[in-house]
Amino acid sequence: MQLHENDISLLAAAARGDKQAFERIYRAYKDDLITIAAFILREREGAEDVLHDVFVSFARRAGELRLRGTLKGYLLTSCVNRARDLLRRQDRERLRSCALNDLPSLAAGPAEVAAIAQDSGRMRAALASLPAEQREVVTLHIHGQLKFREVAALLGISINTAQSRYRYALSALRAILAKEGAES
Amino acid sequence: MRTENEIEQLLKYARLRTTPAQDDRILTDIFAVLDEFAAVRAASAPTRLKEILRMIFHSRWIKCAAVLVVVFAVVVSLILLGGKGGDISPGPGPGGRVLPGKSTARAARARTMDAYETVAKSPLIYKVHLIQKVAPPEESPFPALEAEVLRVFKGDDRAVGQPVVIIWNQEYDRGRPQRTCLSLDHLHIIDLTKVEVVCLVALAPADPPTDEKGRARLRNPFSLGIRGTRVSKRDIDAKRWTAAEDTVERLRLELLNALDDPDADVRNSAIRALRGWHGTPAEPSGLLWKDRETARKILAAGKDPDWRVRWVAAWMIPPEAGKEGEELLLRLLFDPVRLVRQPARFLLSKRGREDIVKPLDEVIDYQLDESLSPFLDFSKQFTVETQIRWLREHEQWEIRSDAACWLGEYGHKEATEPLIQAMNDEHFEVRRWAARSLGLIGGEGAIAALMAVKDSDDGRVRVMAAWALANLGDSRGFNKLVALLKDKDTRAAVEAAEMLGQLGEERAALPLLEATQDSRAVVRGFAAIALIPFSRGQYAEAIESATQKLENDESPYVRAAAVAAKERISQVRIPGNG
Repeated sequence: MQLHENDISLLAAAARGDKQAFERIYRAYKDDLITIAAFILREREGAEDVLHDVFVSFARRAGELRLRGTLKGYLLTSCVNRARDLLRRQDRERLRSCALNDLPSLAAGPAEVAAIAQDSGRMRAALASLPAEQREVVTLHIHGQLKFREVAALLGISINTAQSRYRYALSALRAILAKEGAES
Repeated sequence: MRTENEIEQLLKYARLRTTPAQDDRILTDIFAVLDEFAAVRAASAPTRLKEILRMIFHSRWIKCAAVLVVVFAVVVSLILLGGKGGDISPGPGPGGRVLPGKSTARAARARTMDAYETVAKSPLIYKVHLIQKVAPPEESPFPALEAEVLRVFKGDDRAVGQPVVIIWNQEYDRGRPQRTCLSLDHLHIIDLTKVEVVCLVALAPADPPTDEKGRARLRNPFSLGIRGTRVSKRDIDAKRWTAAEDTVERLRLELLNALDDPDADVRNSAIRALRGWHGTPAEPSGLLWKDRETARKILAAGKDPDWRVRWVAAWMIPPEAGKEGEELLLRLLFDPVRLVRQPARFLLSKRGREDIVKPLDEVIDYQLDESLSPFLDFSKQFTVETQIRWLREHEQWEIRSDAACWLGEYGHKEATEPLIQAMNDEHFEVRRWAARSLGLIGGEGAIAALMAVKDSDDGRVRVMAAWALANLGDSRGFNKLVALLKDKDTRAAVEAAEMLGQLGEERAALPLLEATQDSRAVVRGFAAIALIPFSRGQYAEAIESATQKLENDESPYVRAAAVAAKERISQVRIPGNG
């Protein structure tokens, strides 16, 4: 996410309907957004829909958009809100039963990720087992590259809460991975 | 057990990526949305200036910088003006002036004079303020200011490299200020390659309109579409042209859409703006007519119910318009409104159709007919007292004749006496229009004054006086018009035919039928058109027969008139016969 410095000019171009500007914005933020959506939803298919909806909605509103913060902040907020809405609509029981089976199929990353695909797959599965509020904080901090202050503002919680949730999440992940290592 | 750093590293590796197929699908959908909204944006898109303002308003740094600049300016102003009463009124300078935000007419006039003084004293400042309120014509500095603007922009090398901002919301008709803005119409005087920045800004009315007419004015492309338009920006010539062409293209869509507006004033403004671009340096590649959709719209505007739209559209039909264009011009050659016929006549002549238009030379005085103000409605802004004063005293006969016309058109009974006096005006045009107005408003002494001139030396005054008498119910007027059909003055004869048609009294049909056999082709043609209103009455068959006969007339002009009459008769009959 290196685009935020040029948000204003890019957004101005996008507001004029400049397709190249939209493509630049999309390519800059797509992987982070799909990761965040996938970890909030614990499934890739829904994450793709969220990504699609975020950018199509952005395309519709770009001409009228009144950006209060950064473009990145706007897109992440839009992504998290949509993922949360979708999550609420889904059958939680069905989601839990298949979530761990779904997540390993998410691996579609580059070569360096493929080399540690096993660990990544286990990590995704472990992350999926965390409570939703901890997943949000972890994925926004790690994949959204947001500071805790920004994560807290985006989720409407205090910085301390965000940091606490992050620490609990990491402890839980360590425990899950250690247990899996011992079992294997 | 892994450390927290290792866990964080693993989380980073667990980042997902979209596949190219997903990217294609989503980008395709985004682009489809953009295409879908492109037309909407073209109609209501923010202008580039708005976009820049939005950028400014949403940038913290620029906001901070702006606040600092304002604070600095205030401090400097206070220091400079210390002990002068505290008014902030900096002197002339390239940055223009900080004008007080008062909205009274007095303040507006002060701003006008202020702006004028700035330009007059500093000819190298290419920042022209033409303010919103109209100053009384006798006090108006506008003609001098306009001359200054024209001098600056007409190939004056001093404009090279200078920023130019035109805030233009005035229009001039024979030296009189008008309220509407004419930015695009005047753009052809600006050579975009010679200037760095051209910013056309049409000011909105000072107070939000509350009535329907005011709201319609706001929909007017002159008021909104052009506001804040940035035509050219600092760059090399090629890029400046591109910017100008982009603007033309974007405005073209806005203006073309405005041609479908239900408000005739909006359509009129739109077509005039399009004409302003047409064939000017601002529209160097002939974009307007090359585009098929634009051409179709302009041809359709030539059939608009509002004569002003037809009139302007007629002037925009070039030879490239082909057969469709010629058909439209032939139709407009017999338009009920005289002014609309002029471009048709002129352009048909340019196309080598002299055979058709030649007979008209005998009856059309190009300069005089053009003098009939097409902007009569703009005169509404002046009071009756002003118009009467102009009628009596103005040194230009055009202004006097316009005033005479306007006073009758809007039915001001108090104008009867000055109009009677105007029947003795030295210029026959003033007498003619005064006679017409008397025929419209009547009043004590009107008939006597008209009777006095019904045998005037000038044929057109005779016709108008006869028409006025007839319109006031005096049968002597009608009889005079019938007699004038055989007048030696061909111009009087054709105008008599036209007036009889306008009066719509069925007893005029027989003399007009007789006039279709006149030895003069142009009289036959005018008679054919004048018979149209009677084509549903008791003389329907005779008129149809006469029209058919004229379709085989030896004169191409008469044949064309018969075809036009036949077409309009068919349109007249549809509602009558169900």
